[in-house]
Amino acid sequence: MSRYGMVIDLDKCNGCGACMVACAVENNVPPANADATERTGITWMRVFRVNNGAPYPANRVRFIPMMCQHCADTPCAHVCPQNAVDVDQETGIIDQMPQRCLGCRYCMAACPYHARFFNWWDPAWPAGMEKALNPSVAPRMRGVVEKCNFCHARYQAARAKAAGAGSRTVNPADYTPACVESCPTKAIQFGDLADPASEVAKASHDSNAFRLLERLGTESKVYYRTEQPWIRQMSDQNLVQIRKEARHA
Amino acid sequence: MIAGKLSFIAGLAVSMALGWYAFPHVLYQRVDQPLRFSHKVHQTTAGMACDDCHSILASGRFSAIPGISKCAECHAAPVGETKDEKLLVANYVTPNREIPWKVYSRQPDNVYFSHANHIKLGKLACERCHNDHGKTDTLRPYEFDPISGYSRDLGESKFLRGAAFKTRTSMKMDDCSACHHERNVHTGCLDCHK
Amino acid sequence: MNAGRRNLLRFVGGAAAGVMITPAPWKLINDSALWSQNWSWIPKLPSGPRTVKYTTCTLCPAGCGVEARCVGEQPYGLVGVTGHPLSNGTLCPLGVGAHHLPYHPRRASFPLKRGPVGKHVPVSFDTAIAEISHAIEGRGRGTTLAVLDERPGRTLSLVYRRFLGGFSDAVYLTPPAHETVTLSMLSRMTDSPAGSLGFDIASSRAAISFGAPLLDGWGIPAQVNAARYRAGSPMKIVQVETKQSRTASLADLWLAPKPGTEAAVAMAIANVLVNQNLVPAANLDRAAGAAEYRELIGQFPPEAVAAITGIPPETIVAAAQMLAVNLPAVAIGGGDAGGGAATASEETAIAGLNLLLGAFHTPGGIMPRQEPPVPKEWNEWKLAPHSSIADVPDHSIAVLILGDSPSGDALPWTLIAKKLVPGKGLVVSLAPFVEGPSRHADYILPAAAFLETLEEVPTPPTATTASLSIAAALLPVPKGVVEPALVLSRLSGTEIALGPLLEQRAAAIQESKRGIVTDAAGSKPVTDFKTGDELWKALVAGGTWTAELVASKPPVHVDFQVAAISQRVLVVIHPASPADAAFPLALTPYAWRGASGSSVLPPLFTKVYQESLLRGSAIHCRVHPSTAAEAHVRDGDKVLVETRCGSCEQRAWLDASVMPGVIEVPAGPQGSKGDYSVLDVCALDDGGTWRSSGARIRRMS
Repeated sequence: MSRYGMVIDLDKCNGCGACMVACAVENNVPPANADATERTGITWMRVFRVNNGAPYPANRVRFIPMMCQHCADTPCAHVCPQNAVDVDQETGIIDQMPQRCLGCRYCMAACPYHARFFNWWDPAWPAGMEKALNPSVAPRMRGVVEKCNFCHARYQAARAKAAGAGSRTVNPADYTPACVESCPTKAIQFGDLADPASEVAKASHDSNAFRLLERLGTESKVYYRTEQPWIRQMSDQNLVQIRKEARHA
Repeated sequence: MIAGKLSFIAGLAVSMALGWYAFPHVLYQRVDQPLRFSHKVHQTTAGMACDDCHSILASGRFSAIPGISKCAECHAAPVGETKDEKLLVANYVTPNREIPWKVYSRQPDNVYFSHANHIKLGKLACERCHNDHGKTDTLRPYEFDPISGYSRDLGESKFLRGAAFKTRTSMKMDDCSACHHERNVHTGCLDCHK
Repeated sequence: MNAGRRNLLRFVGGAAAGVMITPAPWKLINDSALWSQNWSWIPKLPSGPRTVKYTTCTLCPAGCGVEARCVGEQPYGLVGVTGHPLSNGTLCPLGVGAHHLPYHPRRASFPLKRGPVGKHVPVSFDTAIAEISHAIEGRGRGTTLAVLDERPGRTLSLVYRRFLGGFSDAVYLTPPAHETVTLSMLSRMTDSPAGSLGFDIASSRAAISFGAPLLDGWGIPAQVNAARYRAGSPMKIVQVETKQSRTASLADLWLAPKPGTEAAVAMAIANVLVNQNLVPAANLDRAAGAAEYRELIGQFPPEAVAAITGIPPETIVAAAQMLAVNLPAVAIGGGDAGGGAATASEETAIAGLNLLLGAFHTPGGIMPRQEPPVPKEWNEWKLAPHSSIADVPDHSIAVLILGDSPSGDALPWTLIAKKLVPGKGLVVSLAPFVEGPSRHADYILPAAAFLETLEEVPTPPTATTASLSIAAALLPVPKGVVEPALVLSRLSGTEIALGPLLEQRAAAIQESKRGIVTDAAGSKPVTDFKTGDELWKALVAGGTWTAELVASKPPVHVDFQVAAISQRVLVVIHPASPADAAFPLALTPYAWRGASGSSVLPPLFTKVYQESLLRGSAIHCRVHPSTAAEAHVRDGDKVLVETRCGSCEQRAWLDASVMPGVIEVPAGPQGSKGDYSVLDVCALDDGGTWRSSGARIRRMS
């Protein structure tokens, strides 16, 4: 039983966006429809630009890469009427099954991380570009929801490689999601949190490590790390809280 | 009254005949393979083993149908007398063009299948899914369902063909999961989907 | 038995019952479900054996090693090559999606000509060549033929110059430099033996950057990262930049001067370094003009500069101290890929800091580089003179050929346009995409796109060691694509082929016995190549040749060039004319390498600028909420940004990270809807710079 997860070092992320492009390349997410915006686009991996709110020039911008947080207590799976969200027992990865998805978007409403995306348009690639699709990931269709699955096709390939050698144990070196692989500053660590010897498990116990919206109890498997207190503070806030504080201030 | 029963039975018989016999014929479309290929000749006359062409690579991927370069190793020039071999050399080997085989077992894009998992870990024999395809002397036409786009079966089975009805090696997920249940193999959705 | 109505109904009933126990209805239901999962209009996945090939990225000069994962012959994923001598596994977002570029909607894959209504229409190659030749022959006296090469340093660049050398009045042009500005200023300030310079940034312990995007695509990014994330002693970064760029927000110290006052900060830092004795006095005293320099920086005490730049004096002192305790430290000017460099005198002031910090000819500072050997016979070629496009007289170019490969740095069309003979200048583009300056071309004779042709990747211009690698041709070339060498052959009437020249170059390197070749997987260095052909094959297979570091010989003569600095920098403290009251705001364009609007971006880049708010695109302008409030502009409003040179429509983006009084506009990416560049409304300086223009903003109803 593995529990795959990540630790993302926000002090190393410079917001270049390589992870977002690599993710779309790997997972056959099409380029934006001409009418798509940041609300309707599909970015399994999305880097948010956040701001400490201080007046200029004390103002500082940082970047938070966000994808499905692979919650152990999974809000999206609880609400799906179609059983289209599958919590994989073997890996702890939350899978989305577009073939089963009905497009009701309950899961999008339930997800506290805005990590799920709806296909508002049929996927379309510029002429000829379909030849360059990743052969290991099926394109989805209009009307279904999709999200990060830690590049499951790469897990499948790693498992097949182990199986070819007669083993059921995946070699950690064979399984790296595209965002992790593409990060030029190596800000993202990936691995099995259930293996206490793994680098990622150790990093998740760093005193500066935290998870987003931890108080919701989603027990997500994506950890972040930063030495900036304001980012850690921001990670557990929501709009309601911020507004409430503003009223009492 | 008897006449009434007879009419009912006649209706039943006609629709069953149509449904069981004519429907599959109407539904499935047949496409001939680009060349005649004999597994039998390659195994007996040429003395080749299965894994000379079909093997699990170091990457864990299955080599499946070999590329034209593999054919060219022996067939750079015709070694026999058959018409198809001449075609092979002239149309494919010499211009170094891949043969557009119609693959009976090609899965739709949303299905992931690993031979390594099934053969090395599951210890399944090839025949479990492909039946006697490896012993055939010729390639039967590729039959596919134009509605779903799926192949009719994986190998030489005769799903929807009476006698071999129980050899269910069709393309349906039910057939995969039946075998998994039988062997008590638990799978998540994305173990077999991509 | 008669066929009565009842019997017919019974027959139908029987048939209905019977059909239920046949597979037909169930199969059809099942099929329709399967059909709904496999829409026929959704592309089918490619299939075939998986292979790995190696190549080199040519989208910018950094020369990153690329592993191309292929299905059959088709690359479907690109990743960096770990252990690559230049990039060590690093690939920027452009490189990651670069295999999609050949399918870009703005791709030109056959010759085009500007039609009567201004749209490009297909034209035959022969017709185009005949018409261009005619224009070259018929150019008036005193006008020139020019090639603008945005990627200098390649063998093809030499071929361009040799082609132009065949005409008595032709000139070879390059865009205004930005990353290498500091280096070229330094070579003017010292008697360093003729040759190139490079930043040894991987060994620097501190860097002060004047707007250079150190952490966002600058120089050789892997080397910056190696220094920045060095275990134990990461390189300190002091960023002097008005805009809170990615580098600024992540820097150890960010100094935000008012637009146009960066050079004053440089002088103030020099003032602190000298007056607080933070650097050895010899660094200054051994230079010619030391007394004048001392006097000049004396006019820039931190307190006075604070008033000019808006930076507190203690921050300026802290910056100087951070540099002084973290030697070797290097000073880098040149700005970013959108705003470009500052004027020559400002850049001279910035470059001078390197002399004070003792960074010149010091490991971790600025080091000399020996260029790769060139075949002997090439030295006899007659080459046209080389000049920056900014230095060419206005209205002098009759026929301008835009090179095959856009650099991805901003190049305002206004800068090019004013060099053309008014109304008659003919522009021919060899670029594979109709984007940036190519959009204005009269003829487009498109070259092959990335991955379609064998290309040479020369030494990155900021590197300390010479290198050479090859981008292999992994994809077939579309039929209408024209090799630039063929265009030159046809225009000059002499046979020119690039392939043999590249092989000659490899042979010359082999003969020189210099350097090593690291193989494609980035692991095995090989030195002993028996023949040039052997070395060439190793390069084509994805190997990278790198030369050794050259022994450093510190310069004897050093000159701060005070006259050049004071000319402009003193204007900052004694402004000749007050700011333009009609245009009280400062419009500052910015971009990052490859996304400045002059070249296309991989189609999946929409994730970064359209489907998320990570990067703005050319349709956005960022302003501080207070600036917006004064102009009665709200977030998301459509606004008109006006300067003395024109106006453009933008979408306002209120952002507390922007300096009040400043409008930040990305020069690119263009996106599917944009077809103009903010650079077109930026005021061009007399030095060919466009960093900051007086502007105002107005809400459109």
